[in-house]
Amino acid sequence: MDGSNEKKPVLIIGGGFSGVSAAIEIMESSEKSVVIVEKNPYIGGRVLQMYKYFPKLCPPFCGFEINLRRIKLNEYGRIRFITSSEIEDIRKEDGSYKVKVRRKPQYINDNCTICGDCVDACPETRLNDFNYDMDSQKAIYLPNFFAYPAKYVIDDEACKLISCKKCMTVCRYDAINLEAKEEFYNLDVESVILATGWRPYDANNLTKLGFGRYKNVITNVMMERLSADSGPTGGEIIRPSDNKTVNRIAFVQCAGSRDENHLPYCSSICCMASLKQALYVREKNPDSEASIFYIDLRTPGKYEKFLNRASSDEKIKLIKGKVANITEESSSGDLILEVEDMLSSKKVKFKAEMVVLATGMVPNAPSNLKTGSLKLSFDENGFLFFQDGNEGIFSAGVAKNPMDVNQSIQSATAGALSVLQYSFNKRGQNG
Amino acid sequence: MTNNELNPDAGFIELIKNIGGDSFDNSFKKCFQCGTCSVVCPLTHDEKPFPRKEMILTGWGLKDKLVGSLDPWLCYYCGKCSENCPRKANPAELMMSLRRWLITVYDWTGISKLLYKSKLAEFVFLFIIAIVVFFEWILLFGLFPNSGNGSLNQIIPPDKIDLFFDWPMTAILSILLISFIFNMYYKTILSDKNLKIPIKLYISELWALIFNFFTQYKYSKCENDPEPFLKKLFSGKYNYWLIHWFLMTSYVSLFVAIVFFLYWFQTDYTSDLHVFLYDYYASIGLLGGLIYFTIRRIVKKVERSKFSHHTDWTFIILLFLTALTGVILRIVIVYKVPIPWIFYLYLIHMMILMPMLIVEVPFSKWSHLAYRPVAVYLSNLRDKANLQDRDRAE
Repeated sequence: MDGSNEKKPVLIIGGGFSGVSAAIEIMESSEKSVVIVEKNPYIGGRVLQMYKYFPKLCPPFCGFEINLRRIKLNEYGRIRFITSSEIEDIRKEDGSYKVKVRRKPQYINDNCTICGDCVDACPETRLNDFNYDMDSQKAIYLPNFFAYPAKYVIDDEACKLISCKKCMTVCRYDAINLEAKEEFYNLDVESVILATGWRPYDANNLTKLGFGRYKNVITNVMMERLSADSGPTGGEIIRPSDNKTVNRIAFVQCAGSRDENHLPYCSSICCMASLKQALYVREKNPDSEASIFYIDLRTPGKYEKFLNRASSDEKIKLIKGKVANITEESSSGDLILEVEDMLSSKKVKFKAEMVVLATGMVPNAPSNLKTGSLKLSFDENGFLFFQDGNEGIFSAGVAKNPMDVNQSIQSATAGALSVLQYSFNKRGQNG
Repeated sequence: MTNNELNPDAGFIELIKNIGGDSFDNSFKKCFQCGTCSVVCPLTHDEKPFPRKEMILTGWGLKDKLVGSLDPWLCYYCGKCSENCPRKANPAELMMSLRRWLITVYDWTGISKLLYKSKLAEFVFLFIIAIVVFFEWILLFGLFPNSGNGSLNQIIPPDKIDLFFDWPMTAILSILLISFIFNMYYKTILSDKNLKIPIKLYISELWALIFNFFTQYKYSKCENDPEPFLKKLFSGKYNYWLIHWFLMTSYVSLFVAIVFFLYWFQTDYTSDLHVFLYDYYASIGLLGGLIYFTIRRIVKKVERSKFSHHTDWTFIILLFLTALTGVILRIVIVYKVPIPWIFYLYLIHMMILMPMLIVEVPFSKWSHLAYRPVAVYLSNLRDKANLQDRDRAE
């Protein structure tokens, strides 16, 4: 060993809030450099899709903007983002990790000024996955209004590429190359932080709750987009079937969570998320009424205050009992929720104009992550709970276990410290 | 003791665990009282629905609150609650276990408690009755048939079978069963001081008792998918109900005929009705139905067949052997096989039939034939009386 490992960067898989936070912490407290490999064409991950954070009800891009400023302030260029990329292979060799990264074709280069001329010219459309497919957009698109790197992206499944070329002809900055090819990068890194995050549980599996069958049954993540100013309705909470303003909304807690037939664990955030959503439904439409059906409300520690805030609103009703069946009244599009109200011990049929299913978080790893011969230990639900710190593999955020943004930042800081300790110990051994 | 007092009985929790399925060990701890089971149940009522309430009452050992409950009998084990239970706490099997337990509660002799607790006790009990039948037979007809002279009716006269076997047994079992049913009535209705049921209701609701006994209509309600009746019929969703009904009607018609018209069976003379109803309908119903239920309990594909208590198997096997020996006996009588064959087959048939009826009718699984329709009847009475009370109060 020549001790050069200390100059080798740290690989962070996943550029969501956890990954970016860990990267900044490492950078700011050491001289190490960091490489972030991100699957999406932008960094920021799930938080950018949120309308507001609990408990402060502030917009998430506020906190994220601070992170971006911290990144830009770093004058040594010690942080590198490889977006639209996935890990192809990781192998341990001579005490460091050899990483192969596969990057999707980059049809648009850094010349892009996001002027938008290409969008007007583009004849093809795609479903907007950022808005959970609730609306569509052009095949050349800005991933979100806060996109970093700030440039357009082409969906090559929707785009006709070289046979169309309409965007290329209108682009004044020579920013488009429709013949771009997949690229591969080889990295040599000292340690790895897995910040691979989560995806919402597939509500199509909840057949009794009617998602996919009834238009007015949506999930909590869709509700965030539906409420967001940058969302498909411009922030108006109107229901999908007939664009009617929603006056009577129901939240179904533990939709597939704590359920042996779906996700056996509690995602820990959905109770807070539904309380938050109930609050802004009420804020946006004072005539509205929100009912939350729960098994038990999980608002630990200081979050109890938030629960008190929500429950003090007369028009937010908290009903103890799990919704086990939802049917649609076909004439009106309204939904009938069947539940046993625990406190009165009566079977109730509750009518709502729109239903939000509080679905849980599923870890992206292991199924959406290729890690070659890297040894990782997952718990029975696929979370990277225990990692062997002596191997230089660490985890942060929801990849580790279900948590909210606040806890994700804490776990990212913990991950950053672990990386530095590992590096320090290694140097000690080698020196 | 006021109604609000709680008397947890830890022994009761253990008792129900032992009387229920293998996967039933931690169910009461697993259940988090979400009420999914109550919602998906096609048969439960809207007020105080089951089986969520039974889960917590059992988990807390509140035996007192379950003794007087008719709800376990209103469950026909469709298994929807267990399929949808997010904790796999198996509420359907709990309802089944409560029915097993309630059989032992209504039986004041304590015999069924012993039978449900111990496989060995059940076998010993069955064996003793078989031996008693054997000696009774020898006293009446001897060990060897008098093959030289006489027809079957001279060697084994039907009136002797009636007088020494069928009638005393029927009388004793009826008295026992009726006293147990009264016990059920006492525990569920009479002991509820707030409940006053007008005599008129008892009479006007009698049709429900008869209707449910003969149709077992509630089984069909287990299939509550919004599909037309015929579609469900042809897609086999009613098979369980129809086969169970076929089996029950076969059994009841045969039992009545044998107790009162034994001579119909001890001769080769047969009317068309007899041939149709007993030789074909009831024989096929009993044997076919029992084979069907045996296969289901072996395959264990649907919730209601997944767990079999030893008393379930005893009932199925004994009833099957009774039917099988009975059918063979009938065949050898009709085809005039030499008397000794008939004589010993008859003895074997009696040595299975009598223990089966004496053990099963009042003390074990058979009794649901009586308890279920009575419980549906009583529960109807209670609901209607409460409703009338409420109307009057308003």
